[in-house]
Amino acid sequence: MENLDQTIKACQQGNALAWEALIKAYQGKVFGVAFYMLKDKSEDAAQEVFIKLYRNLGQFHSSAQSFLPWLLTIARNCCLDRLRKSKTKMKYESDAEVEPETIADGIESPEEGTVEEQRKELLYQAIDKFDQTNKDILLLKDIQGLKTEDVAAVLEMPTGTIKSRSNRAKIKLAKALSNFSQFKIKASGN
Amino acid sequence: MNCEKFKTVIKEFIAGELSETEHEHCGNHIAECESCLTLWSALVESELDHSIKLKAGFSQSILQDVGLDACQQSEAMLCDYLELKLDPLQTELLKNHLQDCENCQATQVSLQILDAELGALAEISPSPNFIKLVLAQTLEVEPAESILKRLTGIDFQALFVQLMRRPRFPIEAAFAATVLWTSFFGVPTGIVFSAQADALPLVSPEVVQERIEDFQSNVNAGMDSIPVVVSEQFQNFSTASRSFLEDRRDASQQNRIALRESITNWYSNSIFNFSVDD
Repeated sequence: MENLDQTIKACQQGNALAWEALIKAYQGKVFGVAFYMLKDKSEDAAQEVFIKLYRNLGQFHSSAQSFLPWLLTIARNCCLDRLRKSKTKMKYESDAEVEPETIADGIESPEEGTVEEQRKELLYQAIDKFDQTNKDILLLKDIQGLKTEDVAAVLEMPTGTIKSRSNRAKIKLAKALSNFSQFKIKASGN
Repeated sequence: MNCEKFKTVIKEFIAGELSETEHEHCGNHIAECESCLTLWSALVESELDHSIKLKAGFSQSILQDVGLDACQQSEAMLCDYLELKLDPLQTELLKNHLQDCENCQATQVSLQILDAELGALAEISPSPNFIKLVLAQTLEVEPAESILKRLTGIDFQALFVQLMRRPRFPIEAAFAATVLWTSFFGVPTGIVFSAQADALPLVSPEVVQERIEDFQSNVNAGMDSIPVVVSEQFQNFSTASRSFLEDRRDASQQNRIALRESITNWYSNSIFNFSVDD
């Protein structure tokens, strides 16, 4: 988003148009986080994220570069709060390490929807097999594209750990998904 | 030599296993026959590829013998390689490994696909009325703290937290509440003085004595003329009692007003004097 600094300042002064533009620019990412962590009821969570953002926007005084990490932190915390209140807590907050050979086990190859939708469904199923820290790292670094330093600050972990864990998780995922035809089709296309 | 004969001996020709005369005949044939030349070229290329693969397998076996795993090191570097974060030497070494290792080539392709797929999960389109819902929930109820802060320039939330953290806050709050109460409603001892005023003698002893004597004389007179005069005496007694009670209530009211006025005057003078002196 261009002029993010000025847009945020306008929002802090109560400018409704600026607030609308800010929602429009970041609603997709907030929805992406909510769906990644909650799957269903992601719209309710996304609404709650923006309401919290609006109430706390007056406290944001950093540069525009740190706005996305800040917003994604709010979104992640909001989703974690919802998970803690629900029964799906254990599914996301699992600590079990997975091996590349076992990731593909139990994943059902989807037969409905377009090839793109099938690939997304497979990817979500495979990511669900990881422990929470790896899920968080994949979400913030590899999906949302945050810098390693920002991810380290959000998760309160060393940058080296973030980098190595991200690489390992991606290699495991890549190897597991290469067994599915939905991913082979695209590979041969490349 | 014709084409049929050449095809039967082509493998031996490529392998160099023919006699010198047969080898010369085959060479003369592919120089004249274009189709056999094409076939010979294709077979020679495939043989060359095969020899390269054997060479790669050879290097892997040597690495295993000395306890090194090139594929493991390659996997650890692949992500940085795709993000162009490797230095030139590491890049060159990894490229060299990828040329010969089919497994790592497959992993590289899978990683490239995965990067694209993960990026596609970053944003999900919400429902069309999502913005309207959020705007309705945020702009209608503007946060109170931001209005106050905007109007006054004071962060009341931070100020409140700072105030609550003061160690003597309860004592200070109690003192402030006392000052406010006395400023608006006066010293609360008025209740005590009012009770004392009610307890004070409200009529003079002489009046009381007179009433008692009247009562006794009325009773005596009544006893003498029972039952003829009793109702009349009783009526006199009631009238006297009512008069006694009315007198007492009036006196009590007057005493209370007078007492309150004197206390108020005293308190006002005290505050005034205190303010001047201070």
